[in-house]
Amino acid sequence: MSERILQTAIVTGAGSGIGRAIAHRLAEDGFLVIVADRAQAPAVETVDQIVSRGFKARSEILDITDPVATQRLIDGAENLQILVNNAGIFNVKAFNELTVDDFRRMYEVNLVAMFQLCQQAARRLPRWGRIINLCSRAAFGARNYAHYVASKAAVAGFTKALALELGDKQITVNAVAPGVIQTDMLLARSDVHLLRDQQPTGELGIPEDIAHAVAFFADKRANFVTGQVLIVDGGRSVGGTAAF
Amino acid sequence: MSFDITTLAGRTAIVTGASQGIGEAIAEALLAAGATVIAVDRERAGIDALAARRAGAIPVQGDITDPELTARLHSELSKSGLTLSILVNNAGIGRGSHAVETTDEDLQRYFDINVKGAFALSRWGVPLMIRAGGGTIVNTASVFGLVGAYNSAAYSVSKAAVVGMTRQMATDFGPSGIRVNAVAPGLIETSLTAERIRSEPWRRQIMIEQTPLVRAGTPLDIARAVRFLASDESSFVTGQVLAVDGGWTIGRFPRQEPVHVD
Repeated sequence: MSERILQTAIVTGAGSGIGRAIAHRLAEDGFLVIVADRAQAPAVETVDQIVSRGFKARSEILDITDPVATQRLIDGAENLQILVNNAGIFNVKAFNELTVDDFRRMYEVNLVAMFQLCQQAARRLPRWGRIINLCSRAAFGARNYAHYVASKAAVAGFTKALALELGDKQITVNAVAPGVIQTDMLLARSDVHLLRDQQPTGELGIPEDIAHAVAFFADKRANFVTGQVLIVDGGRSVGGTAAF
Repeated sequence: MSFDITTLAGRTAIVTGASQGIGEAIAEALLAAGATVIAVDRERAGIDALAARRAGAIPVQGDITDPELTARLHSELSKSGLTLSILVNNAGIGRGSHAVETTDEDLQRYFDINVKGAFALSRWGVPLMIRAGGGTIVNTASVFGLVGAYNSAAYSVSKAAVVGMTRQMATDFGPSGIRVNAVAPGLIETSLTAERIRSEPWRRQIMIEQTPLVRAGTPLDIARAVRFLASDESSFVTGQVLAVDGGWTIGRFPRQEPVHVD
């Protein structure tokens, strides 16, 4: 095998769930993956899993809302090719109980931190660089977490705006919008059976489903795809329910 | 955790309009991923050449508006002992027409070829896929079916119908384990678009100027998206329309320096 310069992919929130699956898939595709997470133990576990499979990864522990830490993360990534903005927060709160602080906190993590990382990364990304943002099916409407819905709708708009501005450098910017995905966080919910019943096929998605979509956008050869928000939800948002 | 599911080995695909351009590239991409491809086209030459250079390609000459086509495909499948699991409805026509000059006959013709042909093949193919335990349909729509496009009435209307068909069939067939998605190509350099560009030389330049990536795409760009949507990599994706357009649908704004307002 010929020696080639290893290219780097940063995946935020890669200590668990969807982020971990994305890290695995990009490592398998030949990237050195920087597993960025707030919590050390899960990040190290992701790295150990990847390395034990013979692929390359290392961890970086940081809070993505800290611009000094994110700048350090970007500066430390040699041959940065891909930034996957996966880290985010979610909580359920009915509209009546939502506070301005809830809203600000959601925006700070899900949108402002993403913006910061994109801006810092874009200065370093080469031609054919890739930015992939995690949006959500909920961006198009959902009950009981308006602050999350609004933050993810903002991610969709931000993705398109950034695709326009980075097009000249041939950097593509896309988003993946997961539907109901079987993560530990989701399976802990008491209404998980309802969510399953609402799926057209009666099946929930798995983190790997999202990882594959991210990998499609991340592929250097997907170089004519930009500004897209791909919904990965088993068809729920196109109106598909098994029976009514 | 393993992700080795990009392969299409053991699967059989039908690709319509496979003799040239985007369809030919789709057939090549599915063949490269290990699928057997029944390549359908009105024109013999392209699909015969494909079969000659590629093992696993089976040419079937036919017109998608011909009601007898499904019977021929059926006998081809059973003759070779193949089970259909991927259908790519790619065949179509397109050229410029202003709404005022578009006749009922034009609309009927575009609808027959771009919509009804794909609808009929899907209706025929889905029961076969269900028997095989699942399958996937990928339609070739167009960015002109997503946003308004000047001087493109019959084509735009027909491609918008393909988008609607994709979403509708995804809901009808989802519970049976059949996924239905579409790709929406932007400006792609093919012989078909070359012909169109000859008649409307302004269109290519304008589209490139409006495209954030400032260039046209290639048939391979579309083929890779189709391969993703046809494979198990996209097993939780259905009812979606993926634009492969260099950002054209999001970015049809004049390129300009930022205007600073105090």
